[in-house]
Amino acid sequence: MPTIEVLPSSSTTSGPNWTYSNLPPALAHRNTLPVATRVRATRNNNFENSAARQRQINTRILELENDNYRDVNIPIPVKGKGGRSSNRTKASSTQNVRRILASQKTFANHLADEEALHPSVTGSAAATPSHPTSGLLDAQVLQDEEDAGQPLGYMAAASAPPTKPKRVFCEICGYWGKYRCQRCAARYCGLECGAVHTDTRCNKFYA
Amino acid sequence: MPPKPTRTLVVDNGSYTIKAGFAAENAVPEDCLQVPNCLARARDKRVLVGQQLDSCRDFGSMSFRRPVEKGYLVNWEAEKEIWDRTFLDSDSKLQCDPRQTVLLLTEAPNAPSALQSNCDQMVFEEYEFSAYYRCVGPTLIPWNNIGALYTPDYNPSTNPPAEACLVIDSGFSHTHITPIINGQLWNSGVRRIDVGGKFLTNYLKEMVSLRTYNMMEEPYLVNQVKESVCYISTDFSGDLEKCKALKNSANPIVVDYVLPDYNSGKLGHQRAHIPKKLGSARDDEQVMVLGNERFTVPELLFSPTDVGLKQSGIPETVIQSLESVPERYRNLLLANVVVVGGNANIPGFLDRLQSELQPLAPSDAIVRIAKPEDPITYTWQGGVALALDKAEMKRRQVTRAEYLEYGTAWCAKKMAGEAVSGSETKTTETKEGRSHKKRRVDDS
Repeated sequence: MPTIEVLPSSSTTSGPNWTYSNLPPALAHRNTLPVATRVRATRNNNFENSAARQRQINTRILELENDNYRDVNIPIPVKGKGGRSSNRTKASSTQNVRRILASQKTFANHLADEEALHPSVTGSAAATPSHPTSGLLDAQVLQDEEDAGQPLGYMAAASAPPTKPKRVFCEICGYWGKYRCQRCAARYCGLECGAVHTDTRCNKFYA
Repeated sequence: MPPKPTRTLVVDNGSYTIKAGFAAENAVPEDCLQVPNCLARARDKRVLVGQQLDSCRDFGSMSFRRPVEKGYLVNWEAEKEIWDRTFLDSDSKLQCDPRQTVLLLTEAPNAPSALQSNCDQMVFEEYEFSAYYRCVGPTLIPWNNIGALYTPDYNPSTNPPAEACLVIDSGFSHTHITPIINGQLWNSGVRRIDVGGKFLTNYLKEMVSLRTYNMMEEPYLVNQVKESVCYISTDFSGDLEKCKALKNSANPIVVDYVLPDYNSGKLGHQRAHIPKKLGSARDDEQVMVLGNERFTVPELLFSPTDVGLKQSGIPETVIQSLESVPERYRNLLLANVVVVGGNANIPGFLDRLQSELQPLAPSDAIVRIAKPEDPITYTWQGGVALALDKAEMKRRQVTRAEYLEYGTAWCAKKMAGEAVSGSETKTTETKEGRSHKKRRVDDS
């Protein structure tokens, strides 16, 4: 006779040799709870590699490149008593100068312009080295061909992703992040930091 | 009136500070004036420009506006204000008459061409410098006697620039790996890591705000904390375990940073950790305890993926860069690595780089890494050396007359070392295809 072992769970009540189950009859013999499936689904969902997680990371990286915590607008101080103009004999500036001084473009704007103007310079095609022949070829050939090449452009000059696996750290104390919060994919190192995380930092209140 | 002798003003226009000074024989790093390249607004709404920041005592809640964004000179409205005060004001040390001055200006590699032409136009049309040479900052490094960095009494047998030199320029907004061969930038080997001093400061700011005091509004203070306590660990996981296992009082890594008191004018400083229960020496001071933040922050230079930035650390990027360089130069470059920029001052940088780069390098390569005495002004010093080589400088620079005659595109071409027509300087090294700008110029 097969032994049926009922594992304790919130939706079953069991005693020796009997059990109550509030599961639908179709599920009762497996004792698979809807709750359990949901938890497993959460655990297996690949949030770490999802687009949403990537967006989070990108936002954070952008924040790390900010000069100030909040947006500020610092105007040029008003010139006092023209101390500087004594050095300047020129009364008016040229059209180019006025255009450049009035420009409110940011670096991102310039980068987009550059990409639109010279797609080959900033595009990924430029990432391929201009000397595929470099290697054990005839040195004379190299000598003739070689030059410093074209500038790669901003995008293509970025360092390539590493081959080493990514390391993860506890978001609370900075130690290795062995565990992952099931709700928000944040890493923590143990119970203590996990509790701090759930109390203060866990930013996902629904699974 | 006879024209005054022209002087050369060397300006390394960084995102954090402008390093500027006149070229002179026997120039020492102290001749170089470091001007904060920013407009800062203090708590009391005063706006401080450039050098004025040095006289400021209250850095609480200070916010900044920086004309150089990601290493590229973008906002001329703000930059003009700083330049005006630094180069034109009568009470400035660098006061000069641009019409009698030659300007040597640095830029970051791979600058968008619109920004380059803006820069040329401002220099000639607004400031009216008599002549001007704009070049990529790291290309000035081989003009220094870099041999002396490895063997102190080294005397170069050849004239500068040094034949090959791999410059790792880790500045405020990014880190560039630039191979320089025969004084020329090897364009296809230039690589960039988007981690710089600002990135590290903000990362530290985020960490301490979570763990100790809220410092989100105090970038200046956190930068000082970073400069005084951070180090690069040569045994990262070992140090991390140590911080976990040991109590703060028994851990040599843990230090206190006594926060400055802007009201009484006391400066912040670092000191050995004193546990709270022993009773801190004084009650009136606020102390920030720093443990593994000290080395996990600059660790980003060697492992940017720790925050999810999908780029390699410095050693791997050096190898990526070398793969774009002809093979016969690779060992030569590896034997002449120079680390410059503010981050080079982080203790442990050189040891860590040496220990990680050697295993990645070809087995027969000797890896020699050096840090100049003052890595921040080393580019400037190289610029001075170039400016003193009058013939070379004359060959490279663009005069104002030439600018007015031939226009922006021609000037950009010439400064990139490209063959140009209509100039008497069209002679020696201008081979075909050496173009920095060729394609762009042909496009327009």
